[in-house]
Amino acid sequence: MKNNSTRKLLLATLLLFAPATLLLAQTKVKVWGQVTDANGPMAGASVIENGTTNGATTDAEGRYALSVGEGATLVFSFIGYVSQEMAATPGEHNVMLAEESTKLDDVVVVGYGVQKKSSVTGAISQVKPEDMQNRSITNAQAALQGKTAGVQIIQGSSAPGASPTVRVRGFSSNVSSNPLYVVDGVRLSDISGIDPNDIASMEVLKDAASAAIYGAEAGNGVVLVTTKKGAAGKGKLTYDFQYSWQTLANVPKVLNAEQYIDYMTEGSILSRDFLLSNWDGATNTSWTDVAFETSTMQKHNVAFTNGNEQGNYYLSLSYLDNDGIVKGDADTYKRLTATVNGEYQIKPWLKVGSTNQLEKYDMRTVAEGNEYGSLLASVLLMDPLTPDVYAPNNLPMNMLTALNNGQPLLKDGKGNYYSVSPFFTGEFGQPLIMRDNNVAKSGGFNVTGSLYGDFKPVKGLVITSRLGYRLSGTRTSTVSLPSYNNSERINPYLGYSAGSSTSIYYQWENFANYARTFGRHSINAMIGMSFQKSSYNYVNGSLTGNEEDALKKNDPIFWYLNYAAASATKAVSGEETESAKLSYFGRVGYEFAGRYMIQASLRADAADLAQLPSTNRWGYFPAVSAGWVISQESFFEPARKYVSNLKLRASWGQNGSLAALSGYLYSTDMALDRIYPFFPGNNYIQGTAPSSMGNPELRWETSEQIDIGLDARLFNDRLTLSVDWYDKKTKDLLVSGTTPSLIVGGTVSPINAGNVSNRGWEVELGWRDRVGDFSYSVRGNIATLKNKVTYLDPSLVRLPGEYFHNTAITYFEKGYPIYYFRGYKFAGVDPATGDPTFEDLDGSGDLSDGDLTYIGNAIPDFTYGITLTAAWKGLDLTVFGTGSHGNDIFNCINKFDRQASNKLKEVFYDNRWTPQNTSGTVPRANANNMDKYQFSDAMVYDGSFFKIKQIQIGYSFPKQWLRKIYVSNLRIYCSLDDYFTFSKYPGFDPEAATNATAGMGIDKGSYPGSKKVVFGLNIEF
Amino acid sequence: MKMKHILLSALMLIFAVGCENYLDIPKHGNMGGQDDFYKTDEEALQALASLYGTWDGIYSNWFYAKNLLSDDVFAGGGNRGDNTSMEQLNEYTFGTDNTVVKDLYAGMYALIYKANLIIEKVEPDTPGKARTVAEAKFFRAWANFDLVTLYGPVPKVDHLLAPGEYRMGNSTVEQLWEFIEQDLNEAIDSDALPSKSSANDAETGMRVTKEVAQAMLGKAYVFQEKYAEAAAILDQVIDSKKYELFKGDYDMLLHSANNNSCEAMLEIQKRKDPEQMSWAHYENNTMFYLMYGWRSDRLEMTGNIAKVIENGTWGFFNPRKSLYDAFVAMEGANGYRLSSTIRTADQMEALGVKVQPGQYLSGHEGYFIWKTRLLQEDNVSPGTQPWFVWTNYRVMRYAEVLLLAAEAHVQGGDATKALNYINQIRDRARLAPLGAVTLDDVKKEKRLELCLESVRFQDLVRWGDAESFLAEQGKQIPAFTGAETKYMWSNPTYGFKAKHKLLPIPRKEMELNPNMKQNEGWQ
Repeated sequence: MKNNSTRKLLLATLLLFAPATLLLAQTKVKVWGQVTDANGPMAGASVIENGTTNGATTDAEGRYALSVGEGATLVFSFIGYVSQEMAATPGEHNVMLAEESTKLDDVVVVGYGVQKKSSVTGAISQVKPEDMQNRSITNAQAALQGKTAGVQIIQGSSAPGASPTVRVRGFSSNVSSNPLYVVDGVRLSDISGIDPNDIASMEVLKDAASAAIYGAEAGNGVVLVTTKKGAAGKGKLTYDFQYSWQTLANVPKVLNAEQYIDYMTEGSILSRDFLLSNWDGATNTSWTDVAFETSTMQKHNVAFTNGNEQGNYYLSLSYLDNDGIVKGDADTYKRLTATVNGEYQIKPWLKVGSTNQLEKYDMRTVAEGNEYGSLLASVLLMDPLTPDVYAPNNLPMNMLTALNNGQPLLKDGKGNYYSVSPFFTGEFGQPLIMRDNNVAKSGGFNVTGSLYGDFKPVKGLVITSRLGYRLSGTRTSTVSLPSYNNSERINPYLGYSAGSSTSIYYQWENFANYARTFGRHSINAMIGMSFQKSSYNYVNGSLTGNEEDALKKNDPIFWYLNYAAASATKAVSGEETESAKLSYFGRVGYEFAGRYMIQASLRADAADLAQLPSTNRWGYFPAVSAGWVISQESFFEPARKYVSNLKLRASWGQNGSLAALSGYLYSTDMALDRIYPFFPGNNYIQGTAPSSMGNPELRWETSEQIDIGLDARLFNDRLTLSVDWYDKKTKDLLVSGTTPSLIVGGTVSPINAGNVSNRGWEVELGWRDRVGDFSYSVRGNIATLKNKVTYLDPSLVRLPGEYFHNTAITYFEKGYPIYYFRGYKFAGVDPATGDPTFEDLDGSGDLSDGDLTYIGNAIPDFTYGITLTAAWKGLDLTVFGTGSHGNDIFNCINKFDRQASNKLKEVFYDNRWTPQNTSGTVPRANANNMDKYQFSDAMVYDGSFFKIKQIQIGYSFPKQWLRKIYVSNLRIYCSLDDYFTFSKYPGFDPEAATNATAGMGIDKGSYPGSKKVVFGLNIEF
Repeated sequence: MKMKHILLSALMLIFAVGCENYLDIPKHGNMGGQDDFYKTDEEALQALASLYGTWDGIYSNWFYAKNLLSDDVFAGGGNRGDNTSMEQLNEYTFGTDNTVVKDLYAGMYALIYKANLIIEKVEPDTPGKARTVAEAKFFRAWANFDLVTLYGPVPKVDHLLAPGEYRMGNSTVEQLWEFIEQDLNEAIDSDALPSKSSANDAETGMRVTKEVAQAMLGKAYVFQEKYAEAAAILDQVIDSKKYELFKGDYDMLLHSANNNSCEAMLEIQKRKDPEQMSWAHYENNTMFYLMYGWRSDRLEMTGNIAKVIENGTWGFFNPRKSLYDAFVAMEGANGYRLSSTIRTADQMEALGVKVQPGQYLSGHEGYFIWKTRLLQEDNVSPGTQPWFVWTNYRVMRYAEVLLLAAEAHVQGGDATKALNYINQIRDRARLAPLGAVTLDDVKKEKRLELCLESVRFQDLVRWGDAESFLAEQGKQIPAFTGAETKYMWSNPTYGFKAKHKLLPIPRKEMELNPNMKQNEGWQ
């Protein structure tokens, strides 16, 4: 074996370097012919003299001709087809290539390797390019929604440039449940910068055994992204274009002028006199119309690709310009991305390559998801009596007074003043002021990629060395303009802050894969190591106005730190932080006769000192899995007619999470505290105190998961079915802010104090068939989830999560779903008073914390998706919908201490108690205990929804027409995306959430989704 | 060839060994291990700065609890429900879960922890370090004083707790008083605390002086009804002549212009330093004063006053009519101290301040606090919402010492001295001197002199007057429209009951700590 390979290597080397004359010295024979497939001639198929670089590519008619050494073997190949070999006798050799028996031997990408799909023993979901292309999604995560079971996508904010949150098999941690992303072998925390068009496949490693090879970071699942590579064949140039019109999808109902006046006077919140004397009697502003408009988004993608047996490349350039639905350009996202992938077999035993994604982006954002300043909430809270603008000669009293007091009232571009409500004051202003008083810009770049070499010293062994990197830079700036929102929200002076950061991440991974088949036995093994290091460096500066503007001039060309006014209060901050990780890992697998398969893996990870003390830094993450292809058994023979494939699989494994660990949480070292002046003047002593009470026992958060699955293909592979059941337990959750008791005094270090269980079923079902020219498919998936906190350290009753105006409303507590909603149980309106009443759960006779209880949670009972496709001749249709069932939403739009705000009509107005309607089910205006009502289940809504994400009709022009204009493919399409939403939620969007961990299902005015009309074309040369 | 492969493979894996030390990333800003710290004067002072910072951090809850529980003010705020925890305290509807009750309790122990760090870890072998240790003892006593008087028999934490000691049970009130006296006596007797060079020595007064520790000890004696000891030690403070009543405009006493005045015993230092407004030091914000100022967005201000009063404040702590009436009873409607302390709506309107038409002030009977009105000159950045005010937080002033001493002497000491002390207060208030002094005189004088200065509630409780003065508290809550006071809200249960002599042990602590016994009536 050794001699043989050495000879081949030598030969290959000679062939590479020897002049052609050397080849001519051999006896040559001429061969020619045609390569076809079932549909006719195949252009771009390759014909190679085996073991040499001598070969040819077929022309447009599928023809080839070449000279080869006598006695050589010809290899005919084409990507996606089964290669054929043939002895090279002189003369014509016509070959018909067969498509690789579809699906059966597809490969899936797994950690540090690929696996035949038929051999997979874990739970791995795949998302293919057809699920991403031609959609109006702007990032790759969104492509996962509804396409695969067990992966939940939460689009908490739909602002341009916002990334959705991905949850694989539930919610495991009190801190972060984000999956690990691995793009072409490079670990990332975010993949939103990758254009979906450049992705060849995404694999979600859902069970612990599949993910365990990523050990310490895989506790929340792993998403593997493989970007496109060039295919052997003819060069291709493609251009994809898409243009969308977006509008606010759902307009919540709020009170109109008349209703607002009724409500405010009923509750004595504002007197009728005051209301009428400050209202022109006609204005009835719809703030959604004021704040939103139809906006546009366009996407362009150009790709060049080519390849041959030695190498291939894929180059692409994409541009995205998304102007959000808030009027004007205060919410925009522009992104330019390029992908540069290439690889080459430079020696028979060495292939080298590089993958690169380059991204540059710019965005502007508006404030959202916050009870103290969400522009989106202000749209719902502004009263309808105030118009959006006033002409300067027609200012109302309150604005004139403000103007006379020198308050900086903002104007639109036309000289009109944005209105200031005389009724509603608070942390909010009216939406246009909120939009214009802050100019928040951010931008940056990311360069992510890898350089790798695959080294094959002996048959079956591939040693890979891969350097992965990510270089990122961000720039942010915020200008806060002098503005007067209302008497409580005044910014008298221009302020400015700016910052920039860079992060440099690299990983070096070396691993060896060995795979051999001996008769009916197949073995494979992999062993490797990984070292990762990242550093993050930031510098921020801010200028605060001190009795005058912080900049020399309020003009965009002065909006830089360099133009600080002398009086400005200046602050700078900056630091460089580092982290590193060292890992060793290995995997062995054995397969017998394609029938029984077993696999085991182990990973050891070491965390850096910022995460864990050196004594506890190593974590070990084992996994095993096994599969049994029942359909290969002889007893199954009679059923094979209907069931072509049936596989049972099971896996167990452990994974970790580092997300909660950073910042030397275990340490008792002395840290900087507040400063204090002991002497006259602005001289301070730097306070110093122990950073915390310490916890040398701190450990990794660990997930352990069992998965049992079944894959089947029936009726000639037309029906595919995959069912999984899993039980995932996450233990040693890191809990900070613990108080063993209130007398401790110091900061208690985090402890490993909680366990969470996630359990569920996942079913993926597909049907595809063809009737004459008509082909169609239906794919559906559904995943159930039972999430529960199973343990919390007895020193903690419950951990607070999200707050709504000083009150915690979500909690992490044993026996309940993670971050469930906690509040009072509304027991109806007292018919006598119109005040809300609540269940007195602790029997104390009055309302207290003892009456707080579970009132809902944001975790769906099940999520589902369905995709229908149909094609007839050149026409194609895709309908795709996704939904969530059983999740609740806590409506936190109306803050009870701002009674004069407008109200959601269905929540506060309809069927409220009035002296005439004493059987009303909603409390009277300004009732007693509205502060309790705000924190009761009356504010919790069923957040179940079904969204039709896509209805797309496309037409591909006939090839014979296109050939004349040198186009090989042209498709145009139009689509309604996110157009129809079915939900009972009275707010903007049932997917709204303040954040994805503790704030799931909390709506404080998040940026809502838009519905889109999309037009696009795909052209290929 | 084979050799080459081996070499290449070896090269790739060579990195695999020996790079674990790359994981040893040093911690930035690390001031070193605890055992290496607390060695020098400078380090001791840094530890003390951290203690003072904690003290600053708990001041607002300390102030809220003591003043809301008193009959000086209504909770107020933007509207009913603006701050329910505060309303509940003021109206005696609070339960064991009240956040102010909880945060104050935890905050006092945070201060004790900082004190214990210094007391245990700093060797008092230099004057600087000895002074630091003495101050730490003072603050431990200061915290324990409010714990024992507000919460009763709470755990006595006299050392740094080991993890096994985190759930300590109750101690007794007697043990706590003994501990307070011991700490204060040790602080005084250590001779490490300086005295001011004169009444006008502002700098020395920025930290705890020997006289402040003596005053605190005197207060502790008064609360234990040890009047003779109290009189003796308070006389020492007075006789030291290091403190005097402030003789400038009384209505400016509690403002930044008179920080660290001759009357200041204990003040938390604030500075007019715009650097404080940066995020690096934002924790030093004084939201306390934002709460305190008038509800400016409901008011129209015209004329000169609009140029001196700061805007954007939230209108908590509005004086009650009963307090105003008490002033009138003693001083008449135009009393100097009254008009320096409280203004009526009519007086305000004359100054150019009135409630906007159609608006109302919540928790308000038409009386505006004047002595702590928020002035633009107190704001670090005048004209902006006053998140940073450089008026020192007032904790104790000399008037309280005089009145404590007067009380101690009335209760069993030198009546002449008592008369002298109370007449010093009256003289400054431009009132005629008394010819003889009773305990009732002291009580009345103290109510007016120190209204809204965090002493009233504990006094009412220890005098046994709380049930009579606070019985109706919370029955009705007013709103002031500018023209009239409407009692818009009410509570079904309200008012001071026997159980309110002590605050409850916070529910959170009862849940966490199985060794704690709840106070009488709160179970």
